[in-house]
Amino acid sequence: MTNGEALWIKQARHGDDEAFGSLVEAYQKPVFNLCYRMLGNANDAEDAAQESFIRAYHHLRRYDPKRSFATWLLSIASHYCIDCLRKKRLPTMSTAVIPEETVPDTTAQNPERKIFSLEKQTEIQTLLEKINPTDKAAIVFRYWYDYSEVEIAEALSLSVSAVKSRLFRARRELAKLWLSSQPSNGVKERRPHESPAL
Amino acid sequence: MSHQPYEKWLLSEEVISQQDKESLKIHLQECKSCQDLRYAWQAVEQEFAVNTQVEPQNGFTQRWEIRLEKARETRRQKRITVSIGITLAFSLLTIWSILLTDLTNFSLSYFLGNLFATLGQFVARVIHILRGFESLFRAFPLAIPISAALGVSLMVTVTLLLAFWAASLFKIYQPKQGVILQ
Repeated sequence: MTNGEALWIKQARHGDDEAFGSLVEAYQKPVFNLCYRMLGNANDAEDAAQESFIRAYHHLRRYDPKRSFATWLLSIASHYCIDCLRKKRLPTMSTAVIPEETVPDTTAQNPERKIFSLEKQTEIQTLLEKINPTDKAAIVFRYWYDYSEVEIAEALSLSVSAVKSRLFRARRELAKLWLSSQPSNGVKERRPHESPAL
Repeated sequence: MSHQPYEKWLLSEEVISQQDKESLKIHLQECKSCQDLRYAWQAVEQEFAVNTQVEPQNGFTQRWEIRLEKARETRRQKRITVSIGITLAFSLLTIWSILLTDLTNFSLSYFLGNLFATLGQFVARVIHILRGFESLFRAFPLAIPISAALGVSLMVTVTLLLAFWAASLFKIYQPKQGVILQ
């Protein structure tokens, strides 16, 4: 957190809406991305991200400045998304609802890479939609935000051992879902590209 | 065939010892299930690496400001509704209590301190009071100052209502701190 952000938080806690607006501007991308990964489509993600910021605004006095503001904010967003997913089964995402910004700028010149990237996003999003909401949140924190198990535990209000267990379960489930989504001989065909790490 | 602890080693981020690595290697050579699991998880991890963070459409902050105003209005409406509800309920309770209370022995502190007990007593005493009034009417029809009693009740009720309304309005329209968004 920069000094500017710390100042915005301080000002926002004293009722300065413009300062909170600056925080929204600064954190819109990570919050939206989390909601998008959790909910699977841009419309629901926009709604959830907006609502998360509204909740953060109303509960700003509860924020402990000793903690990371980003983690606090993402914690609100993840809990909101988990609640949304538990309340209703959201429709499966299609490529039509992927926001344009999902394609990295570096690939803008290359239509093939753009299509490949969209396919990958759809594929991973389809896998994510099939796992438990809290497990999904743990995976998103781990692989999109590079959070440690301790940070994930803090964000999701879980114990570290629970996070380890959820990550293990989610990984196994994702791997099995990926296997089942492949053609019957897909695994054998792709073996030559396997990482030599092991 | 047991797949533990091999599945755990394949899917966790914990560093395993050289001996465990050898054991895993041997297990993978003979276990198709764990081979597939390892390959599938590596593929999923590669897909994670390809995925970047997505951004909202332009104007997110402006849309949030509009939404904040709407949320504030909703909260304000909710507060008004709750205040009106509480005021009405309390007013009705007050009117009802005053109408049922024996005004000659009424004590406000006792009434407030023992509201529920008092209400219970009121209910129990309704018939008794009505019967008392009835007998008074019958015995001294010209001696009862009905208009005076009604006047006092009305004044107290109106004063209480005004006090609650004033408190509600003060709470609702209390000026907010901070800068108003343009």
